[in-house]
Order: sequence, then structure tokens, then C-alpha cells
Amino acid sequence: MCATNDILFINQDERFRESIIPLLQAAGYTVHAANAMRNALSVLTTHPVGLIVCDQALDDIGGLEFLGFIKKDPLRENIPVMFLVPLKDQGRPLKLFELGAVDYLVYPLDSDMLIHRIGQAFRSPSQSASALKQESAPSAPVAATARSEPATAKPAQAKPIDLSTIGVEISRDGLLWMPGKIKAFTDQSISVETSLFGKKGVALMIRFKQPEGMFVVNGRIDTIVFDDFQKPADIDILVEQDDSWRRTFHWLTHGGDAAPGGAPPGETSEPAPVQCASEIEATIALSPEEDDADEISGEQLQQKAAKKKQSYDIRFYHSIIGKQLDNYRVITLIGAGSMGGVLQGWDVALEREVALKIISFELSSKEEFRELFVKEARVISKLNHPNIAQIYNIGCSSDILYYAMEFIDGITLKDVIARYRKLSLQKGLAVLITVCKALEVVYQNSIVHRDIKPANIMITHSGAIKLVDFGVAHSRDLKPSGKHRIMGTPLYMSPEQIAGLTLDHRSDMYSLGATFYHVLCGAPPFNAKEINDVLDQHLNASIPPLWERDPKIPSQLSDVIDKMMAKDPNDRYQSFKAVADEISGLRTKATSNKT
Amino acid sequence: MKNILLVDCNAEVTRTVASLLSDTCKISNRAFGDDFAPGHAGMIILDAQGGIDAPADKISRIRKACAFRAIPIIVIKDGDDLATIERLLSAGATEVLSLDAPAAACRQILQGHLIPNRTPLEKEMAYLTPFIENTVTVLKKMAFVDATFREVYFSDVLRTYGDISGIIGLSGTSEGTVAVTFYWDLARKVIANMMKVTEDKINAEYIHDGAGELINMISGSTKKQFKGTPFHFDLSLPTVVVGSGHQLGHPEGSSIAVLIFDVGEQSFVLQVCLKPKKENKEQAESVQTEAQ
Repeated sequence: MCATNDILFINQDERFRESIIPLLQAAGYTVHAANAMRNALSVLTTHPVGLIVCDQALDDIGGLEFLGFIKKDPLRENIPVMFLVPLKDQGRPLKLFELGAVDYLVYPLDSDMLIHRIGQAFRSPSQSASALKQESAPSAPVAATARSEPATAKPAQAKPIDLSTIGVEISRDGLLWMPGKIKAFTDQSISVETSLFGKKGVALMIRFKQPEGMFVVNGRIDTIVFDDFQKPADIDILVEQDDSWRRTFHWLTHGGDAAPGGAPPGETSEPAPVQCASEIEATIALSPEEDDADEISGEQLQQKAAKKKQSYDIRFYHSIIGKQLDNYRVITLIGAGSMGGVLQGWDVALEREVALKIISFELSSKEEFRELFVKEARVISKLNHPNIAQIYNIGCSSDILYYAMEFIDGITLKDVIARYRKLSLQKGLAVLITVCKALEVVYQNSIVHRDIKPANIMITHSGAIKLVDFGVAHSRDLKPSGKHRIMGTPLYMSPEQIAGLTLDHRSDMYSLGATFYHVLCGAPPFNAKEINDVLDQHLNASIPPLWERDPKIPSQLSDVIDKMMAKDPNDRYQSFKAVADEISGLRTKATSNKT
Repeated sequence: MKNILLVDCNAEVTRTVASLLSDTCKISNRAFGDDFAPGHAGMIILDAQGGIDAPADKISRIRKACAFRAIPIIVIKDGDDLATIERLLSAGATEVLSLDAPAAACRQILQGHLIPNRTPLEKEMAYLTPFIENTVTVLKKMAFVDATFREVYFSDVLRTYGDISGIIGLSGTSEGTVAVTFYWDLARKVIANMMKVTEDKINAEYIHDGAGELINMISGSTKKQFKGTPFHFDLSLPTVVVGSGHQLGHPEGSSIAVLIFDVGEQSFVLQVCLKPKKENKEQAESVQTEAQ
């Protein structure tokens, strides 16, 4: 057992640290926080740490590299290390154990489970599979009964999971999965209520979503009860006693705690949920002429109202899926924001895929916004550049205002950040230069995008860069009017945008700088829990130098980003061409230095 | 002008719907009864305040009376309890709206549902026609019933509102699913004929075997006609699903062709979802290559 109960908790996300650390302290641990290797090492030097709980990525180094470093240090190699990883990170747990980690947990975290596992890590750094084998001794065979009462059930261990919270899926062929509910289980069988039908002896697969991923258990129907032809059947399934079932049984009988042994190999899992709140990453519309104190300080109410509004929007978009708007067949919903929704469509006349941008119900009900929607679509349709998503057509069908545009099959820079934390330096510079060239065209056409952010820069599967979503774009020098005049995304908004001043291309310059700050180092220049605090930082706070966030970033590049994000537009680059030329110069210099 | 049929709607609901849609739709009122028939309604709006069992039963019966036609059933019910909403959707509701919802939202949602489901393009009929022909043939030869193809439309709704479905997965050059769905009265007749037993002898085993075999035969005979074409597919094991409002597992983002057949006064549907498989693409993995 460790002589100290000090934990070094390493995570880049300040909000996440602030939410977890008090829980650990309440459990009796002394917690030291860090966000990067440099300050983690500082803690290790000055405090007797008994356990390291580490995220898969630190500010300045990857989690695996940090673990490798620790395990090579004779002074620290015996400190147990536990990792927190995204659900989709398939190969990493195995690698972690190979390098010497004692345990890992998967986001989203259950705080009780975290504390329990930390306690186990302090008591015994490694767990053995024999502990699990002792828990699952086979019981007597299940008798074939008319009703689903599992016979000779092995009594469940302490704290069995609440069955009403578990949804499973059942399949006959592994392709088509039907939902089901577990009614009861023993170590030999599971009783489920499901729409999927069968008869005695039919082989079935049951899929469980567990913290480590999807586990599939094989079995055969033993009995089926079907009293009411209007209702699902009750099926008893005799399960195969394999590793998948043993882990699942352990999970069911231990309140949802995973059995030791890591993620199931070869199983697909769902994307990791976003850890941070998304309100500051979503495009918003602020109304400063109104009573700001009520609108903005009641943020929880505002967020709740926004979520409800978005729910109506989503339902509206779903109501038209499968329908046809003029020549466009609506296929599926891609995404929705406060301005409108984007749906995938098919042009039945020209036989090509399109993206359909549909104005939100709220804006659609206001004539001024409908006129603005049409006017801006006309302006943007004149932009002709390979890196700008083109508008093909604007229409109104069944009173639904929409425009059809180029369908981009790819991912956004936001997806790249979520998946890989940041872009590599070379790739980041290449993308930045391309976006600058596209924005130069936008600028030359006297248009301000007003919502430059990672989510609006796409990379197609062939590697092409596309600037998308001109939904809040404006003609330059057009003073905002009307109720909702400030549009943008808090993390990337320019000071003049926040202040409600007249905008020009230099506002996009600032947002582009903030975007690539985030893309290059993995963290936005400013961040806070409340939107107001983020906006205030844009207005008043100095930007942490990029090279401080990532020492690998050259100071000259850091200077470029700094200049793009100068508070005063007059201090920024005055054209995107100037930025592109500067970055190209840096790239050339770096290449020639290497040779 | 589209016809909207209000069923058991009180004055407030009637007034609200009229204020939203009377400029584009003809609105009529009717009380629900055993002989309910939707007629030419383009939408049915049911007032479901108070309780859940009675409205759910009404919805099921209205949905059955629609005979698989794509008539949206909008249920007016206050509150946002997810379990209640799910129960109503499973029973056959298309949408559950509250009178507290913003008028603009209600209007847009109702407008969206009023847009008729699209009909197939010529190239889509190229793969649907064999399914239609083989369904009629299989029902005639194996179940001794005369099925008549009535109509087809496309839908994205994953729920099916019959009582029993036989489903089969398709993979290969094309992928997707095909499902045949019946209400019990017709299902019993068809299965009894297929399995050569009387209807009172039908049990779970016969249901499973009969429905599975039916979809297997329809898909299998259609598959033969697609050999060498872009629509060719292989079949998985048939799955039988029971209980109204069950959700089928069609590939995400794909349109489902709903083919309605009549057998006398009764109906059943064949749902076909078929699309060529996309090539494997490495998306931005190609962009992000350098290790951190």
C-alpha cells in the first residue's frame, strides 16, 4: 500500500479538473493538478505522489510519451499511473498496459467508479484475472420453464446493476439489431423482452454497451413466451460461457464496474462524447440593446431555452427528411445550429449530391431574416473559388426557405481537433495558407464571413480544403441592425464583433487567427466556463503566446498569429494575402534550414 | 388544398390549428369511432390530453385504419415526458406536439409533415419492380392469396406499424434491408396457408418459420433477377419481429421504399431499402499523419 495519498491529476481541461478534483479531495486524497509535463514534473519533484491520474494528451506531450518518461525514471518508475481515455481509443489501453500503466477509465467518467478504482490502485497497483474467475463459478442448468424465471440462479454479487437502466440489442445475423430489455439473468442465461422473435434453439447475439466498449454475447433461445400478439415476447437465452459473457456477467453483478482486462478487441465503439460544454463553440446571436443583465447573466435559462428551441428545429428538419423540396430530395440531417440546419440532399435533375441549408423556424417567421437569407445567398453565390463551398440554387418550397450548395464529403477541423487534438505544424500551415487564399476572394468581394471557426473549415476525403457556412455572412461595412445583430462563435469572435461595431475583413482575420491558434496547439486562445468571461478575454486579456502552449511552434509563427489577433484591427494584417505570404515565407525558411 | 382531419380535438386545439394552417389547408373535425376511416386526409391531428392508454389505443387503431398509407398522425399532448412520447410514437404517432410550443415551430413542423412523401424515380423503379412482381408471385404460390400492388412512396421513418415483420439483411454489391409487414389478421391467414395448418393452430414456432420463410422467398427470388446488375446482393438470415411500432434497422441516411399491397380489404407492406455500398474512404486520416 502506498505511504502517501497524494494524487497528481493531469488534464488539460481546467473545467474538468475543477469538477473532479473536489470529489477526490472529499474522498480523502490530497490532489495536485497539472496540465502539462513541465508542471507535472515540478509537482513530482516537490511532493510525494502516490498515484498519477493522467489524460491521454497533455498540453505539451502525448500521454504515452509521458508514461514512457515516468517509467524510465528510476525515482518515479514505481508510481502507479492510471489513464483516462476516450471511448473510441481502441489500441491505446493495450499500449498503456505494455508501458506500465496500472489501469484506465473511459470517458464519460462515473465519479463513484473513479474513486473506487483510484482506491484499488492505491491498495494494489495491478489486478489479476483470477479474481474474476473466482466470482463466476457455474451454477446448475436452467430448467425450461413457461415463464422467464431464471432457475437455480447464482446469487448476484454486491451492488448488482439496475436492470432498468440497461438497454441491449439482439440480433440473429449480426447485421440487424433489435432493442431489448433484460428482465433477469443468471450466470447461465438471460431473460429479455424484445421485439425480435424466434423459436427454441435459434442462435442469437446480445450486444451490451459497457464502459470499455461493445461486448457481444452468443446464446441460443431456450424458451419463448408470447401471450399477447400485440406485445414483444419474453425470451430466455442460454449464453455461451466465453470471455465476453464472463466480463458481462461481472459488469452486471458489480454495479456496472468493468471486469479487468481492457476493451473488447475488434468491437466498434461510439465516438467519445465531447468533454467540454459546447455552448461556447456554437454560433450565437446576442442582443446587446436588450437588458443584457437578464439575457446574459441568466445563462442557464438561456441555455435551456436554446436547447428547447434547437429541439423544435431538429424536429422540423426531421419532418422533411424523405420529402422533396423542388428538385431536391432530402436525405438526412447533417447538423443544426441557431441559424438553420444543413441536410444532405440529392438533386434529382442533375443527379448529384447537395447540401441543403434550411433557415431555422424562428428566423423563417421573421420577414427581415428571410430577406437577409436570400440577399446573402445571392452575394455568396458570386464567390467563385475552389476552396469555397458553392451555392447552386435558392428556393422556397411549401413555405420552407432553403438554398442548395456544394456537398462536402469530409470532416471539419473541429473533428480533427477532437480526434487528434491538433494538426501537425506543416499540415496546419498548408491549411492556413489555403484558407487565407479563399478569404482573400471573400474580402475582394466585400463580404465578411463573421463565423470563421474550426467547424467551418472542412477537409474533404481527397484532402481539399473548403470554407463553408456563410450563413451569417454580411456585406462589408453593413452596420448590423435589428434585434439579433451580433453573430459569431464566442471562442473565435473578434473584439469589434463582440462590441457590435461595424465589421470588415479584419474581423475574419482575428477569427482565423483564433482558429489556427486552436488548431496548431490544441487549445483555444481564451476559454472559460461562462460565455461572458470568454468574450471579456477577447476584449481585454492578452493572448498566451502560442509557443508557450507548444514549445515546438516557432516563435515567428506565434508572432504571426499574435498579429492576426491584435485587439485593434488597424494593428492586424490588412489582407489575407499578406498572411499567406508571411506563412509561405516561414515554410520556405524552415525547409531551407533543414537542408 | 390539403385536408387536415382533427380527431377528438377540443375548441382550443381546433382554434390553434386553424390559426396556423387554415390559409393553406382545409380543416375538418370528426369524433373517433369504431368505423373510423381517414378518407382523403393529408394529416390527422388527435387531441390526446389526459391519460396515455386510451390515446395510445386510438392512435394504433387510426394507424391501422390508414392501411400503411403515409398519413402523418400528429398528437397534441402537453408535457415533454419522454416515456409518454415514446409510447405514443410506438403506437403510431408521427409527431407529438404541445400547445405550449412556439407557434412558429408548430407551423414549420406541421408544414414539413404536410409535404407528401416522394414517389420513386425511374431508376428506382428499376429495382423495385422485381420486388413487386416477386411478392405477388410468392403470395400466390405459397400462401394462395391474391395480392395487388397499390402504391409506393419513400419514407425515412424507421418504425413499422404492423404487428409482425419478417426482415432480411442485404449485403454485397448493394446493401440494405427488406422487410414484409402484416397486421395479425392477415398474417394468420397467410402463415396458416403457407404452413398448411388452420389458423387456430398458429403458435410462436409457426409465426417465426412462416414470416421468416416468406421474406426469404421474396428476397431470394428477387436476388436471382439482379445477378450481374449493380443491385445484386447476398442475403442474411431472416429475422422476425413482433409488436407494433417496432423499429427496423435500415441503413442510416437511406430512403426506404414502402410498397403497399392489398389482399381484399386488408393490406400489407414490403419495405425495401437498397443502395450501392460506398467505397471505403480514408477521410482526414490522410491529412493528419505526423505523430505529435
